[in-house]
Amino acid sequence: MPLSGEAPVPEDGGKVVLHFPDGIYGFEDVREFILLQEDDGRVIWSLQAADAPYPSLIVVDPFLVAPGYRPRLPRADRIAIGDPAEGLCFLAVAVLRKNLADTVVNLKSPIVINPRTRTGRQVILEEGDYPVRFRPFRNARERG
Amino acid sequence: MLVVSRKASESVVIGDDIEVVVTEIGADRVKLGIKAPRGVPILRRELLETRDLNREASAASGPAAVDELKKLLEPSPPKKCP
Repeated sequence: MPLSGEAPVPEDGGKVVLHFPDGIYGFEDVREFILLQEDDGRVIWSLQAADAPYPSLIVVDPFLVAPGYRPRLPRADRIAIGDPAEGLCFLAVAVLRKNLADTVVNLKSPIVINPRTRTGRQVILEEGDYPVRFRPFRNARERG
Repeated sequence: MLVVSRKASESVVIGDDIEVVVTEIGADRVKLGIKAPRGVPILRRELLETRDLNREASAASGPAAVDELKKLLEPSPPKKCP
């Protein structure tokens, strides 16, 4: 499945160290993360602490799970993360459930990565009414 | 839930030392000023929800779940790594 052109991701293989000056919500003290590619299609990654196995969160391409997704960063966040010519990378934190219909994806607070500076930030969007718990597969049947 | 009607610059007082002032009323949002003692956490609800979801995500994302998601997002079978 092609990746939406709006989400450029660092290109050098599966392992990229990213600096999160403010951590992410709930893990404010974790400042260095690596992004591990989980699939060949470049739509699923693990965002994992660089020097520990925990925390490790699954992140997905939000443009793929929510066609029409148009995140607009609040001004302060735009200044903090920068605005590289090649664009910013957006990823959405997913809570995967055994029954995929119960899987939720946070569209309200994307992980935003500046591929040029290799910094990241979790941003809470103020516009667009995106849910914290979006269920992209709510109509999927349980696979047995 | 108590619902009170307020105009811009009016406020409500909660307990002895917390005051919430309506500072601005716009088309689709209001701005609130909050006076509270240091040490009283004041957070937007979505921040709390995001924090909870991040913690849940870190606890829930096992390899089996990832495989299920891969099946759904990728119609073609993924290549085997050597």
